[in-house]
Amino acid sequence: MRFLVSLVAVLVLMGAAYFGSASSGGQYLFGVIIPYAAIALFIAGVLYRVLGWAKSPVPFRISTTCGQQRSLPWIKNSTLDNPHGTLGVLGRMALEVLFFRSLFRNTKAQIHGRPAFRFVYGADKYLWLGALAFHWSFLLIFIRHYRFFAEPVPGAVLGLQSLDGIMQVWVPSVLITNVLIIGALVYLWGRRLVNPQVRYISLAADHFPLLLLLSVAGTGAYMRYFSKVDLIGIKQLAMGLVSFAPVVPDGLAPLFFTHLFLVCVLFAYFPVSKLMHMGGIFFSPTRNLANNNRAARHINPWNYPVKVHTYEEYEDEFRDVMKAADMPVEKE
Amino acid sequence: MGELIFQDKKNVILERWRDSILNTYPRDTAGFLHREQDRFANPVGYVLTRETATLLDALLNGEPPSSTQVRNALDELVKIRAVQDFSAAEALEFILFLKRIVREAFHDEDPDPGELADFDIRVDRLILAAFDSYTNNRERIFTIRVNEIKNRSIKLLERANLLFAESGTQTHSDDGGTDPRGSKGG
Amino acid sequence: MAEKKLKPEELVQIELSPPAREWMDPSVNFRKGTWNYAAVPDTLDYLGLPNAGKWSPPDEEWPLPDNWQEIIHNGIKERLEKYRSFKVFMDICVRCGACADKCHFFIGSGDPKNMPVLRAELLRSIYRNDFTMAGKVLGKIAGGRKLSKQIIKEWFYYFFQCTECRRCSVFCPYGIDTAEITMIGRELLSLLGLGIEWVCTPLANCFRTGNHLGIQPHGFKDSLEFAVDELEEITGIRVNAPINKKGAEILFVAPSADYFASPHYYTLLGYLALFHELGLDYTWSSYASEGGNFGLFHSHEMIKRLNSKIYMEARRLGVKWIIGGECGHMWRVLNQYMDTMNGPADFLEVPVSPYTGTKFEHAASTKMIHISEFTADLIKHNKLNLDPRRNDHWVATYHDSCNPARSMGLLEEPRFIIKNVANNFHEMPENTIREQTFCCGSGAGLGTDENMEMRLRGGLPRANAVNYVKDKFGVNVLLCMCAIDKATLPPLLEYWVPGVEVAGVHELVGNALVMKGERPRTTDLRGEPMKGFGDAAGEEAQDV
Repeated sequence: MRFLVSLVAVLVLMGAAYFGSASSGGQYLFGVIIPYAAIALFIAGVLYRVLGWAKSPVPFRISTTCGQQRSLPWIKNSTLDNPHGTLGVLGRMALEVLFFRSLFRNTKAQIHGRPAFRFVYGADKYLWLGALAFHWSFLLIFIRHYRFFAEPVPGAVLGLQSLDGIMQVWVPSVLITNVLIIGALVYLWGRRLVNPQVRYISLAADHFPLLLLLSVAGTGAYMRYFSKVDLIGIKQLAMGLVSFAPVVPDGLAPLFFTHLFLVCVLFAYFPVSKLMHMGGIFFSPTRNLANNNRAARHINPWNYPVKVHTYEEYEDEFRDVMKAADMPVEKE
Repeated sequence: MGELIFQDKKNVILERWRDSILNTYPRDTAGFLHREQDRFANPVGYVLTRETATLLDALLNGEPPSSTQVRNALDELVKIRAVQDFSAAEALEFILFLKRIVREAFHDEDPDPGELADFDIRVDRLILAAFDSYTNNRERIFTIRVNEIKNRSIKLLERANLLFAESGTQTHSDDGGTDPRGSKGG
Repeated sequence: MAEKKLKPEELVQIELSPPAREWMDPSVNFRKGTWNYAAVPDTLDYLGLPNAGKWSPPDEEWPLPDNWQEIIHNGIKERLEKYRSFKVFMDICVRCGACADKCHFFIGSGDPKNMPVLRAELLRSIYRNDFTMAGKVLGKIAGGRKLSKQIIKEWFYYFFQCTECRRCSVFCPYGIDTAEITMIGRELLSLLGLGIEWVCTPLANCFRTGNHLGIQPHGFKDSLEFAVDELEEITGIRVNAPINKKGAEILFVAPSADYFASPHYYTLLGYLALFHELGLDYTWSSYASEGGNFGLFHSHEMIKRLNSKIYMEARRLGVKWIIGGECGHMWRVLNQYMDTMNGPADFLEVPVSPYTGTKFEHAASTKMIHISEFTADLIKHNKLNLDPRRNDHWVATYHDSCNPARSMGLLEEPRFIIKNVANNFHEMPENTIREQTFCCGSGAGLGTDENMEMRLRGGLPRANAVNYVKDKFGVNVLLCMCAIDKATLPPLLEYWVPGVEVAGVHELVGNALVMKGERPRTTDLRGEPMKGFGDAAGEEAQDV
């Protein structure tokens, strides 16, 4: 089973960090060497992939149009779904990147023909919701972690955190994003197991990142709510890392190293995986190009001459019948 | 006739019948056919749901397979299966499922053998009607294929026919049934 | 009864649920009615295409060249370097499944490999295995597959079971376009000499004679003259159909099926009537008589080779600009490829309607506009005398053809025209029209007869929506603007929705167009009686 492979892989990684960080020198390895290596791999890898895409030209302007084109002045152009200019493209991309517009198209509420007529929402609405919940929570949590890397902590980060924690049902207050990200990940993974169609198409490379993220979020939440970890020490380590003067304070919990290691794996794995869709979306020619082919010529850098059938060749072959049929010819 | 007993179990029978029909598709597809409820996004599932109910009702009410309602419902189902990846037997076996399902449904209740036999006869008649429908639809496919090839260059053919017309033959003598213009509103 | 002693499931032995197979094990079943005939070697030779062989898809052994693996590997490599679309689409799919149930072939056939994501995975798995680190190291776990002859067969089966309609690409959160992947998949197959007859023969015909049936120039002229005769019989007016006329203002290019096929032909009559009534200074071309581009179903190079004729002919004839007729894939090429491939058209002028003065700025570079843009503009400016009652025998719905909808956005123009030429118009359900329109199931070279079952499966979602408006509103005609639609929707409807006809938008324009000096009309362009225009109503019609 493809998901078992992934599950085992994540468990092994967790175990390695948990026990590895307890050994002598383990803390330096997991606290300093691996994080640096992971970040280096991440940056180099992402650059390599992005430059690789950028290197391949866009020979044709093949936007997928999802609305009315701009043609006659009295017909309303649907600027965001069928952009004619740069502004429209920016708007379309913003909707796509920030709100997953195309995925949202999946949703529909309609009267259905099961024995009793009733309103049903397409199940795929949950995919959009789940994806949105996950991505936004991840972004906010990512930003929130900035508090470990800056002194003083910027006001915006603090503000974000207090906004996130308005649900005060626990001490420390439960962060909404924590609940959302775990819920969303469980849903996204669950549908890969339960929905037969999605299970059929899912690869190990689909289960693994979800489980990895789930383990990252899980260890993070556990540290926050259950096993209180040494935040001062963690900040010391983080500040040391960003100032390139790494120190590993004593007494950091193995669970923290596990969390950190899983994050490192995520960073290192990112460039070689489908997670690159984060960058790829900006390169997608069906979305990031205006549908103005007929107004402005698009240049194909490798456009090459091909063998064509010229009018002269055509007339040479058919001149007799053309003349017999009283059709005009170039050469008599 | 004990129709009431059958009516009692109708929903169970219907549900199981649909499930076993869905099971003739690959697993991942069955899930989609079952789950997607929009009749336009999932026409196969929609027809399946609607027509199995019609057919079962008709069977239990003892309607003859020659009635319009039964014929139409059957045709809708068979039409789809006639173009999918099924052999003739595979396409029609879903009707035979009913025999097993009914026996399962009444397994613990000692059904009257006479009634079961009666039900079996109705299923047998239905499958004969399905056989007709299947053959008709398959024949239709071949007619359509021929018509399409004709229509692809019909104006060239007509021009050729014109030559005959000049020598006394009627232009549109034999295309009344195949020319799409001939079947308008039919 | 003895029966009761048996367990219920033993009474009737039925095999349930086929064994669940992993998609990664290549398997393909060439069942009759689902695949297309192989290309004939002569046509490939004529076009100068490599590795032509004699074979048939169900054959156990296909005649592949000895170094076929190398050819495919290098073919993929070359295309990764040339097409960012291909490279990005190979990399970023997350298999979220949003596209899975958007494909008409999946919906109608229930074959899981018809889910767009899997169609792409058939190629993506080879890409991973050959070109990515993860695939090279982890192989199958990372979703990589080693190329095999069986996979080539699978490609052939499934890439010729995609109509390049782009519906999945509308729903994909990254805009991954299966049409792009299918096009490249077909290019790769073509490198091995594997093509289909209904793509390659029309290709060779179009290349040589200018139309897909291979009719020679005098035959083309005959066809147009025949149409002129028929139009005269119906309207009493003899129109002019100039061919290869130098110095005309406009070159008109239609898909070549319009000259020979039914019901395309009635749209042709519509064009002829419209152009005559306007007194348009235009010309047909026998050399560039096919706007429909079968190259799109074969390879980027073939698109360019066929499309080149239009600009070359415009230059030779000295026209100022170009109008294109009702066609689907043709307009994908004209809108998204022509200018890039064969432009710049700097020898032409920006199209300006001689009757309304409208300057078609949106075609400022290609200098080519769609007939419906031209006609909608005329109607908006009240330049046509239209009597929509002449279409009262039709209750119409409109099928957006895939490419004008999803590669262009030509949505409102045809609707505006229809509403002005017909009184009875009803839309199909929202999730089956406009950018969400369902394909006819026979596009991209699949519209031939040997794969009829596959086409009927693929067209089911479209037919089903037609059936709905037929029941609800009594719709009896499905309008469309695509030559492939006009050829393939009639059989589709004949099977699923008997009683609904197929017609072009300009056929209805031709019906409604009141021509100066016409004889009292009693029939439409098909020669069918019009409602309310019987002998008694003849007078009334003339008064309008």
